[in-house]
Amino acid sequence: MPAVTVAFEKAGLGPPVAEVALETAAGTRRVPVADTADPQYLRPPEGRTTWLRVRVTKLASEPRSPVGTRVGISEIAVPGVRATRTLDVPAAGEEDPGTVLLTRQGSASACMRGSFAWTCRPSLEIHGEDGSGFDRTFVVRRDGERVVTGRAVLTDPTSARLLTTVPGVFPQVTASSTAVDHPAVLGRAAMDGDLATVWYAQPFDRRPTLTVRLGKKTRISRIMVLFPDSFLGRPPVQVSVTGGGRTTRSWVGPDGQVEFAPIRTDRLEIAFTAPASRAIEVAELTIPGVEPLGSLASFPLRLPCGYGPTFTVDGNKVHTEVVSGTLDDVVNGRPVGYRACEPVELSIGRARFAVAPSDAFRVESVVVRTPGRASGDAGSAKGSGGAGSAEGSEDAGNTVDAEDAVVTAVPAVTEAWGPGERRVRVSAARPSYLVVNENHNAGWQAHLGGTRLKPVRLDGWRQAWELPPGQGVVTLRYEPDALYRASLAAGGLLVLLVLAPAFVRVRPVPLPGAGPARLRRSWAWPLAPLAGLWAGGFAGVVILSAAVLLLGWLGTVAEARHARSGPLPRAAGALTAPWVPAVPLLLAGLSQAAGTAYGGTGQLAGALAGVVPQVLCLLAVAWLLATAPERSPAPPAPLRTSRARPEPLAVGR
Amino acid sequence: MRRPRISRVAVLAGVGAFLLTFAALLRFFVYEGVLALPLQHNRTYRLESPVSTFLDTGTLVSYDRVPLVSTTTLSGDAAAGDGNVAVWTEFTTLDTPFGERVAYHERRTAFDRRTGLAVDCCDGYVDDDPGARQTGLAFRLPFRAQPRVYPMYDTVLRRPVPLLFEREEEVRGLRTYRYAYRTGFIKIEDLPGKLPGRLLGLPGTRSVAVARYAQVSRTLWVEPESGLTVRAQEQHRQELRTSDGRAAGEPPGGPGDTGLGGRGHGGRGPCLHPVGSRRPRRAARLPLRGRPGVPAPGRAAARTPAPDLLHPRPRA
Repeated sequence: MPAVTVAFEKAGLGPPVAEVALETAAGTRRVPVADTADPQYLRPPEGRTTWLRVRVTKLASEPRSPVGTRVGISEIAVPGVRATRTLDVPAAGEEDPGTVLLTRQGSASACMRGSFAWTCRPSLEIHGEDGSGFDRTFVVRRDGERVVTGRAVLTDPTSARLLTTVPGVFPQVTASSTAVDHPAVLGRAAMDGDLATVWYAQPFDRRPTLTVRLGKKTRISRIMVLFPDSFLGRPPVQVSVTGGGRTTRSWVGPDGQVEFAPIRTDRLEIAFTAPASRAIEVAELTIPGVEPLGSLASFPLRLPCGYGPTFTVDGNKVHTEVVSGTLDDVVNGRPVGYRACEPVELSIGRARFAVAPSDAFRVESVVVRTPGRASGDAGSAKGSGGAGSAEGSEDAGNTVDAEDAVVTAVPAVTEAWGPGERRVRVSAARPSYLVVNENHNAGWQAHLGGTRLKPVRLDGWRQAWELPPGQGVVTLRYEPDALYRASLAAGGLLVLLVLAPAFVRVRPVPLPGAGPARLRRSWAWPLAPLAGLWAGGFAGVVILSAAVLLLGWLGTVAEARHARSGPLPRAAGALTAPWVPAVPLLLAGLSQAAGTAYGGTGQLAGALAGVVPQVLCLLAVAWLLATAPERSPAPPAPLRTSRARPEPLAVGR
Repeated sequence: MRRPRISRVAVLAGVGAFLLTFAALLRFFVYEGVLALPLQHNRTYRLESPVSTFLDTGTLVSYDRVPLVSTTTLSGDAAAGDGNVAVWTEFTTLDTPFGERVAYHERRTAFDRRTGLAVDCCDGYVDDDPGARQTGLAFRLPFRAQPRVYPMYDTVLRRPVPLLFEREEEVRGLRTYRYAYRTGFIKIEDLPGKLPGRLLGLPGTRSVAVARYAQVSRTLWVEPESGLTVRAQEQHRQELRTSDGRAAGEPPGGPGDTGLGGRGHGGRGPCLHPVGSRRPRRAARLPLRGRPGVPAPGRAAARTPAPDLLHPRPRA
C-alpha cells in the first residue's frame, strides 16, 4: 500500500493527535502527525494488505479532562480505492430463488401528511441505511436474463414540476425554491385550491418568489394570500407584485388581501419578504378571475424508456420506464411503478444493483425475476412490488426465498409498546430476526414463551433478536428498569424509616437536680482538625490545631488566679476577651473587599481575595473552639423546676 | 457565671462585624455585580403622530394628514442569554387607525447586560437580513447614563448613529438627560422592479427604477440613574429617488413624512418612572397633545414643512 492521506479534525475537540499507528496485514508502523487540519501523507508499512487500521497512539498534550476528550478524522484517502457502500444480501439456500425482492428500509420523508395539512421540514427526514441512493449486492446462482420491476418515488422538484405542469392548462406556477426535495411542496401547492397543501420556500432563499402564468392578459388589482398562521392576524409579510412592467409592494391585510395599483398582464411575479424569524409558507394564493388548479388524480403517468430511475447493474447502465401511477401520486410523494426497458443479463456470482443518490427517483423496491416467472404472473408484477414497499420491520429488508419463490416478509403486530416493556406478536416460517429500529442496548431482553431470545446487533447499531420459526408473543423488556425502580422504592422506604422516629412523641420526664448538659471544652477540641480539614485541607488542619492549642493554653493562663500580673497573663487575658473573634472576621472582610476592589489578577489581589480571608476565618473558628465554656461547676437551680411542676415529679416516683 | 455573659458579647461583636462587612460588600461588590439589564423583558409602548403623510407603495396612492400609531413590543429571550449577554426581540409596526399596516420592523439583538452595547451573536437579525451586524447601543442607554455621545443602532437605517447629549431637562419634575440624533438622507434599499414615472412627477408613461432614502431624527429623555427612556420623539422622512437624483416623498417603511411622539418605556429591575405615572405602559397610551409644560411631539412634526412630497425636487 502506498502512502495514504489522512486529514484530522481540529475544531472543538481535545488536544491534537501527535502520532498514529498504521496497522495493515503487513505489520504496524508508528508515524508522527503534523498539527494541521489539512490532509497529510502518512506511510503505512510496506507490503500488501486488504485492510488498514489507524490507531491514535499519542496526543500533542495531556487532555484537560479524561472524560469527553475526542479526536477526529475528517477524511482518509487510499490511492486507487473509492469508498462506496453496498448492502450485501445474505444468500438463502443453494438453489436459485427465481425472484429477489430488494427494499428500502428505515427511511422517512421530509414531508408528512398530518391530520390536516402537509408538513415539511428537513429535520423530519430520516435517510436510513441507504441515504438518497440505493445499493444492493446479492448472490446469483444461475446465469440468465432477469426482468427488473419495482416502485420508486419521484423526489426531484424540478422534474416533478415539469411533469405536473400540464401544457395548455393555466395557471402555471413556478416557485423560486422549495424547502425540501419533495413534490408536495411545489409552487403549485399554493394555487391548487387546497389549504392542506403548502408551498414551503427554502429558508435561505433571499427572495422567495412564485411566478404565475395566466395564459391570457388579465387586469388584476388585488390577490389574496393565506399563510398557515393567517388566522392569528395580519402576518408581517410584504408582497411585491411584478407584472406589466412595474412592481408594487404591499403588506398583507388582516384577511389576506393584498391590494395594489391595477396591472394588466399574463405573467405575475409574486415575491414575499418577511423577517428572518419567519419562513415563507404559502397555503393558498387566490387571484380574482383565475380558477385554481384542480386535482391531478385523473392524469395517468406513463414515461418512456430512460425517464424512470437509472440503475447501474454490475457497472452497466440499465434504463427504465414508468408504467403505473398518476400525477396525483407524484405530487403526494407516493411510489409509481417502473420496469427496465429490456431484460438484464446476470451471470453466476454476485450481482450489484445501484441507483445514484442524484437520481430524480428514490427507489423504494426492486424485484428481480426470471422471465419465465415474469410472463407467468406479469399481471401481479406491480402487486408484488407494492407488497415489497409496504413491508414492515420484521425482516432486515432483503429476503431471498428459495422454496416457493414467493417473498415472505411479515410485519410484527404490536400489542403493547411502552418505554420499558413492549409486546409484539410474531409469526415466522423460518429462523428470522426480530428487528427494532433503535440503537442496540444490552438492557433490552426479549422472551418468547419463557425462552430468552439471543440478542444481536444488526448493521452495527440496530437492535435485533434471533427468532426461531413459529409464532407467539415476544415480550421485550428493559431489564435495568426493574432494578432502578426497586432501588428507588428502597430509597423511599429508608426515608420513611428516618422520618418515622421524628413523629414518635416522647413525653419528657424532667429529673430533679439534672440541668441540661453543656458542651465540654475537651469535646470540642477533637473537632478542630476536622473543621480545619473541611475548611482548608491539610494547611487548615495545621493552622486550626495550632491556634486551638495556643488559645486553649492562653485561656488557662488567663484563668490562673495565682498569676494575675506580668505581660503573658495580661496578653492572654486580652486574647481571650469576648470581642477578639470579631477582629479576624472584620480583617477577613476588609481583605476580601480590598482584593475584589483591586481587581487585578496578580498574586497580591489573589491572596487578598483568597488565602488571607481564609486564614483569618480559621483563626476566628479556632478562638470559638478554644474558648468553649467549661461545664458549669454548680448544678443550675433544679428546685425551681420541681416546684413549678410537681405532677411529673409524682409520676417519676 | 462569668462565661455566659462573655459569650453573649462575643456573639454580638461577631454579628456586628458581619453586618458591617456585609454592608460594605453590598454596596461595593453586590451592587456592581447585579446591576445588569434583565434577560426576561416584556414591554409594549406606543408612539403617536396625529398628522402624517405617506405613500402606499401598493396602490400608489398618497395619503395626507393621516394619524399613525407606532407600536413597539420588546420581548426578551431569557433562554438565549447568560450572565453577560441578554437577547431581546423588538417588533415595531406602524399602522393607520384603521388597522392598515404602513411599515413593520423586527429585529433580534444580543447586547451586553452592563453596557447595553450590541453583541454580534445568538442568531441576531434585522428584518429579513439574518447577516445584519448590529453595533452601538441596542435598545436603551445603560445604567447611570453619562452626559456624552453614545453610538446607537437605528433599525430603519440599519447602522449605528451618534446619539448626542443635548442638555438636562425636567420631565414632569423628573431630572432627565436629553439625547438626540438627526441623520441626513441615507439610502436604505433599491426598490425591486420599477414604478410609474408620473408618480415621481416625470413626464411620459415610462417606469423608472428608484431607491429609498430615509432621514431619521430621534430625541430621548433619559432618567440618568436607571438609563430608562421616559419620553421619546421620532421624526421619519423617506424619499424615493431615481438614479439621477429626482425624489418623491415616502413615509417610514413606506414613503412620506411622519413625526412620532411617545412617552414611557420601562425596564424591569431598578427602574424609575416619570413622576405621577407609576405605570409607564398606560401612560404611553395617553394622548400627547396639549400637556402643559411638555412639548407635543406630534405637533412639532406637523410644523415640519413637507411641501416637496410627491413633487420632483432637483438635487445637487
